[in-house]
Amino acid sequence: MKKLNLTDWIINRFFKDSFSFFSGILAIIMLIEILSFSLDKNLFFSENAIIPWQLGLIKSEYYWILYKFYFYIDSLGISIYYFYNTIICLYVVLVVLSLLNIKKVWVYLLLVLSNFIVFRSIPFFNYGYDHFILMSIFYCLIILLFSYKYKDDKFSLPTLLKYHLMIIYFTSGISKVFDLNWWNGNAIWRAIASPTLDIYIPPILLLILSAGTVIIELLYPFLIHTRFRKITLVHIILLHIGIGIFLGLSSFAGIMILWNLTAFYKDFNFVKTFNKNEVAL
Amino acid sequence: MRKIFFTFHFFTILFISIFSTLISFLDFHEFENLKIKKIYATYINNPLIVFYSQFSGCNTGYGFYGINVATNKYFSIKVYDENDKCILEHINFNFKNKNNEDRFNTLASRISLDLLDIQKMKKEAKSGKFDSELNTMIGYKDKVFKYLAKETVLDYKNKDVTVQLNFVIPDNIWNKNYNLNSKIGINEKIKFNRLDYK
Repeated sequence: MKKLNLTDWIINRFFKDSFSFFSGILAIIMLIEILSFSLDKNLFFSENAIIPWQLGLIKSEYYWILYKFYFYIDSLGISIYYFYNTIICLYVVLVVLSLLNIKKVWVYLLLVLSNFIVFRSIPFFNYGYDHFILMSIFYCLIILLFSYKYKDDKFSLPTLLKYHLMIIYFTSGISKVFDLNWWNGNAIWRAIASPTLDIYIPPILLLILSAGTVIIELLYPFLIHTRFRKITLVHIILLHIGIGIFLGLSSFAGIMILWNLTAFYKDFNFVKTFNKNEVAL
Repeated sequence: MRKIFFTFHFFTILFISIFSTLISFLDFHEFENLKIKKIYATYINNPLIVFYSQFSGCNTGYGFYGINVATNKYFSIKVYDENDKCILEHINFNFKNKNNEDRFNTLASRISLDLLDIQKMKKEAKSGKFDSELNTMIGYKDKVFKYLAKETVLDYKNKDVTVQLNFVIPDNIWNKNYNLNSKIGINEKIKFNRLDYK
């Protein structure tokens, strides 16, 4: 009987190809986030929530589907809160299945639906992370549906993420370029200043960071096709680490770093690096 | 088939990101942009696009921290005694971790945007054009504040409780000791007591 080797399993699970890498790390991020969310779930969605979920939903763009959906659940005599908790449990099970490398379309389809129900039911409390998580699961789904069977496909996951990131960074850079605060360094301080933050950052450093952010975002779509792509990637990752530390948006930073690493998966092929080191030894 | 699907997918992302960036730029500079908004709405309100963009998650999430970076906003609750003296103030709502507290604080940013819209509509409502919509928005905002105060009002039955939406006003970084000079502004403040919850 073959002996189960944990290192082999980890390498095979996470570094076999770009999809394994993306779905594996994504599952870990999702698992951490949903477990942390569960601790305070009752404050967001329950009979004792701070704000009733209906009040948040009524003004949201998801009202058209979720309100009818919950109305239907209620008409079946099922408690909405019981149903919501069940969907959270289902979501956790699906995330674990995805972590265990179950590459099935139904897993990711149910993940899209359960993620939509869990987080879009509280639109008052959605932020960038939620949108990127849903997009990430959706990419896993369409890759399994359309591209996974093809080797070196032009619609591979890294290619799709690269195009998506090019659009995101470029439009984000364009929206910053016309704001003087991004050129004089005030923008970053505006974003991080809070009553509890006691920190002094030299203004010149803030200026370099904020102007650097605009430049790197604007040039991202062009630089990633040149020999400067690795240095561009390192800068973008540092930018997201900064967002994670100073703005406290660690989950959001994590997902953006994952997108970038997957988009450049071929440039940073960890298994190749691992094997090379083994040969050298 | 795959080519058509991916072309549609990236066209939708490109369309939403470019138009949402353009609209926020024009809104910030208070330019009339009805035509652009109309083109955007025509595409984005198409039932197929609504369904696809919402379930794929690509309907939003572009231009983060773009033009006019928003400063930190948060709610605070104050309890007053009979002499109108503040006896308790808190800004946490019993969250067990910071991640969820940050998630909750997105509500403060959303309500601040609503307050800006209300202000804008109030200016235009002098002609009576937006009356019913304006009243609905104000009522909605008041309801959110009322729910935020609820637990504290029930805990302090004979006291007045104020819910405040605060925003940080950072100093210019090129001023001396800028990090010590941030001020706190109040966007909205509403007082409640137990009679409001009958």
